[in-house]
Amino acid sequence: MSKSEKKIVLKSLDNEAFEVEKAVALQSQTIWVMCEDKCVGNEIPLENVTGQILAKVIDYCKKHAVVDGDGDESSEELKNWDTEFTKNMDQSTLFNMILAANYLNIKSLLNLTCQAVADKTKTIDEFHTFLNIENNFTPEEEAQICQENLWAFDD
Amino acid sequence: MEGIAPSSLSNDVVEEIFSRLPVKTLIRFKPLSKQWRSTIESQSFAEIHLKIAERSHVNHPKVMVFFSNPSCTGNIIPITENTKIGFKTICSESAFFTWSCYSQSCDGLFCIQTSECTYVVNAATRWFRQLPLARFQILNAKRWLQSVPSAAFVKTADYKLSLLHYNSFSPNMRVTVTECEVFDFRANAWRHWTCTPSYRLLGGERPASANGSVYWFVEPSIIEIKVIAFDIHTEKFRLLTKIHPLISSLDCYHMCNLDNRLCLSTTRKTKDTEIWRLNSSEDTWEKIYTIDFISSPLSWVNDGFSWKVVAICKNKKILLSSHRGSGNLVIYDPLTKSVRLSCTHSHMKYEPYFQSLISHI
Repeated sequence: MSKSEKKIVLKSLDNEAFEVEKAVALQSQTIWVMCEDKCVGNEIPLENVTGQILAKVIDYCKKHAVVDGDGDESSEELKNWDTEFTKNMDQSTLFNMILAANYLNIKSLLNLTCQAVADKTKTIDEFHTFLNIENNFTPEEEAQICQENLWAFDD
Repeated sequence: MEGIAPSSLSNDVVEEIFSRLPVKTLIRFKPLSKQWRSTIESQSFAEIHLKIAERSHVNHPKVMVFFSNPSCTGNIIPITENTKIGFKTICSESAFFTWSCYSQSCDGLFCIQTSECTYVVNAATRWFRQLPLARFQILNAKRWLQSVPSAAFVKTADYKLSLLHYNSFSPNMRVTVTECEVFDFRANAWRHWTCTPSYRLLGGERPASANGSVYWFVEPSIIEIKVIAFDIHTEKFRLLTKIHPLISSLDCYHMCNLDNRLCLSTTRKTKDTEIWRLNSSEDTWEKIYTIDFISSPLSWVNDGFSWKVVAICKNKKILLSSHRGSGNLVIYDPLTKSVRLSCTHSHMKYEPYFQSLISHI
């Protein structure tokens, strides 16, 4: 296999280009399908992902491509790496990572980032910016639900 | 890139996040919208949430703490859960303050017996249900408390609760039988079977449920302990033909459910504790762990050799609780033979547990 066949170029929404090993990129089901279809060349445009987020996604894929298939100890190490990876991300970055993981269809990254958001979220307010949810309760109904579950709102 | 507003998440992805939230946070999220409220309250979402909670429990086992002497002060809380930083009260329903026994947890549910009734409780959602009296409770209205029955949850297609008791109250005292009563939550009714062979139930040891059956120790003779199983689906009793290693009443033994398989831990005199797992065809036992007491600091904790396996973590560490009521919970590492004391409180008992949304069964 020639060098060009092993590498692939991913292009972000803001036109940042990343050259990565094919094995790294193919963890994304979306990219995998695109490559299978052969309807794209060596350069794959990813219209929903910014360069800043794509760089992080590639970091994740590189790490997971290398360790995949190894024994128990490395999976422990991988878990620690995952924890560190999401630890210092703010909510906004995490949500964008979730969007990217969902769009690129990388199941393990989606699980990881969803878990990280779930671990950090305590109130509805932290969520509202990212949810396209219209609250269709009347203020009275809302107050009643809170009243019924008062203990859950006590701290 | 900064300055780009985050697009909103699709409902599928929001559900992915929600299914990883703690129960209390989810309840706080009910006022979000009518659709999300009905999702959070739905059975199908509870099942998805349960599967994820189950998986995470394997890596980070949590325990429910039962205080065994709740009536001594007004401030002791009956049900708490350990977290990374310590213990957190999740339910303090006054109805359970007088609990006399509790079952193993099944999908976040416990069966709790008080002096008057039998309850099924989800401490995380604070849902509970009082069950009608079982047959033997009605027949022995005044005396059933004296023989504390053993309760076990079984989940096949539905949730079922089984109570076992050795009936020595019959008018003819010589005819004593072991009985099994099963509560079907869907039918809201008890059914009753007489166990054959009717060996005496071993006092003090709770049954364990695994893989659709309830298992309990019986004592055919003073030197021999056997295990009887009741298959909840076929409604048949069976005596496990072989127990390996053979155990007698002189040994220390406990049964538990690890990964939905029946396991026995046995300790002979002052030797090692071994953990044996029953294979699926129920004819052989496989030794999965040996806990070396003599060369580990476990022997320093003044609890003798009577330790009970609470949970086995994914990283192979074993959570052990002392069986003598001194309330010690330790984490034992079989690789390094090291022990870390996780908790000690003389009135505490521990049960493996994870929070779930499963309610209204």
